[in-house]
Amino acid sequence: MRILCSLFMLMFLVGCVSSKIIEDIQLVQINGYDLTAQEQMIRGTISIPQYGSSEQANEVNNIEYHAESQTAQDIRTKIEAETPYPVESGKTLGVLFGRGLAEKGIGKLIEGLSENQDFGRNLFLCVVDGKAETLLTQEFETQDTIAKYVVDLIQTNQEKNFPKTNFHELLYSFHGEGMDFFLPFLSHTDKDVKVSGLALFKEDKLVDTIPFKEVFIFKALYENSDDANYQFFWAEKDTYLTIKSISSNVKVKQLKDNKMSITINMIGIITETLSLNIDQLNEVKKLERALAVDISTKGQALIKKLQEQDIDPLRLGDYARSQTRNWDYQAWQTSYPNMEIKVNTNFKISQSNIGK
Amino acid sequence: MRTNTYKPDITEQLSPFLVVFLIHASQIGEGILSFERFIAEKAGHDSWVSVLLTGGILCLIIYLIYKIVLRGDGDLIKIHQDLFGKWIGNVMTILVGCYFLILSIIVTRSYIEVIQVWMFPELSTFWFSAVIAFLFYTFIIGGFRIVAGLAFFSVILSTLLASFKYVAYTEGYWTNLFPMFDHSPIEIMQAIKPMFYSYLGVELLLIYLPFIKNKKQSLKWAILGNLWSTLVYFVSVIAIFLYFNQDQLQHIVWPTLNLWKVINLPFVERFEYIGVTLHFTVVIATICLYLWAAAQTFFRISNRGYKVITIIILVMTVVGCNTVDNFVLIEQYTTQISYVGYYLVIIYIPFLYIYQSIWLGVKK
Repeated sequence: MRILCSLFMLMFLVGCVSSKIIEDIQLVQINGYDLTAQEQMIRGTISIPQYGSSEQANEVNNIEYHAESQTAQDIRTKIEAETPYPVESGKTLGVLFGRGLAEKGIGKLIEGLSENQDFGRNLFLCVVDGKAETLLTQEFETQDTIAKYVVDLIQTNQEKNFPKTNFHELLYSFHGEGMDFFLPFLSHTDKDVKVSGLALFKEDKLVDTIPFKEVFIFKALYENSDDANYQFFWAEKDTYLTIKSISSNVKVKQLKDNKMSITINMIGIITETLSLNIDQLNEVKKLERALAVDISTKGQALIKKLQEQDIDPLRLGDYARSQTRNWDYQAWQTSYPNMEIKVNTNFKISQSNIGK
Repeated sequence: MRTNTYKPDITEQLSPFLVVFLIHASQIGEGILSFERFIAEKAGHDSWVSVLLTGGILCLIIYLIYKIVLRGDGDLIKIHQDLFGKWIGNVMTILVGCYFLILSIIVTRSYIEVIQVWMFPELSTFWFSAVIAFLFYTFIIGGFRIVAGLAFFSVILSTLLASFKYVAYTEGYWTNLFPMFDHSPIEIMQAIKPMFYSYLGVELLLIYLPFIKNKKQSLKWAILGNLWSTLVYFVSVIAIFLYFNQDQLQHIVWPTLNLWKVINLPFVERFEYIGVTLHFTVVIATICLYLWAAAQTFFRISNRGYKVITIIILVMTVVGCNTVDNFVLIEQYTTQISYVGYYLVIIYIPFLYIYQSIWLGVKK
């Protein structure tokens, strides 16, 4: 009797919520937001993959929908007016922002995304040079859907030269004191998309970008990493050579109120050095020193640039907080642009290569 | 049929070591999903000290409760009647019983809120509370041993779920914990009060201790249960502080669930759905223990049938869940009832102990 009764009650539970059948919903894979031409509203683009219904027609097509409004939720509502099935965003992989919108500020959109429990925290957000809409509507030579293409591109790069970014890291820097967030910066041609650098934000507005070749320096200053490539011009021998950092470790110390030091300890492999004949110990030491000086100066220059813009994507403020009792955020903000920040690099070449 | 005495017979009693599970299950409930935000509001990144301090205070309280029950040779109802006379004693017992009932209503309601916010926004509060009330009924009517069995599962699951906070230890930032002890001792003390909500549950010992064989022996198990909870809370609080910075933490309602969002297992992309679902057992065990205690309290003083009282209590639970229909109110009521629990545990129990000592002295 009791079992019957509980089964009966379970039937009621089934009716408590509306069910969602996978064939009857459309799963958004990527969102794009742009500024409209009049700069008054946000133009949203969503890309939904359409899978073929039979074996002959199992090619993947993307269908894009557009809508314009002031809020992200209203864009969603307007888009749903165009689609035959309800739109679900639980499987969203990425969100793209057009450059124009990013310069105007994306704080509200980010907060909106963070409040919605549908979005995971592994979401990739990036800024597109130009319009997100044109990137999403472009036909690229790829097997996958456009969302998968873009996300894989960023993910692969993050394992190499790019610093780690995802939605959680963004929110961490966005809400936290003494840090500003940054996002990957994408650009595209008719045929392909590429990550062309980092987009740096001040509060929620895009203020500057870092080109791809400086991202290595940025990453070395920002986090510990283990697999990144860097092309180095050795002035002494008048030649280019590429180093592969296999371990990079960064330590930030606040020395005085107005002085900080950043130490990078890097171990690397050199390649394309056949013509240089560096098999003597002092030659290796020379190269190590030259590399260290090069990375330090470039790092110093990069930090100078960040200080001029008054942005702190390297989270130096947070390091200062963790090393200062009764840290004063206001005082930090005023002193940061003129702070003396020194970069020291120790470079160690650990292995050579299989050529001799 | 159950008899209305404070001396349960052997078929209703439990082995002393099971107190570990009872203490742990009654402490870990809905609070573990969100307590970090409340304590961080008071003492920032140093509030992990308060977690340990509160655990220490609770060990003392458990010792006092054992003293009270062993000296009084009975449960709270008998002790109240002995100390304050039949009328005043019963009124105080009723107040404590109401506290048990209200606390279980609040916990039920806030867990339903978690399901509504995270999984099913359309979930009807009424139907869901009605169905779980039926579930509670089967557990409570089964007696204390059944509730204790549920507590066992709750402990297994809460420990398992706490272990899923490992991501924070691999991906978090250790700089968040520094500089250590940057907050004044007063601020750290202030964080004890919001922390208490998560540690509530030891006061149930006053009701269920007579159901334990060899009460004296079970003291060490009770302390162990409390230390286990402390460990779980400590692991959680460090995980959350590593993973979120303090300003970000204040923007997050359930930090633990947000942390689980990044766990990406091969078979499920978003772990928080599994987390919320498994957490059901943990919450159910807490609620059942409290509801059982409420039913037992009212049963002991009213001389009515146990079933009737259980049904009345469950009807009140469902009605209570449905009257609170606003997330602001839920948080407000949670805070208020946790303060009641705080004062009950930290002021009333020591008071009871001292009063009982004097009373025993006078009697001699």
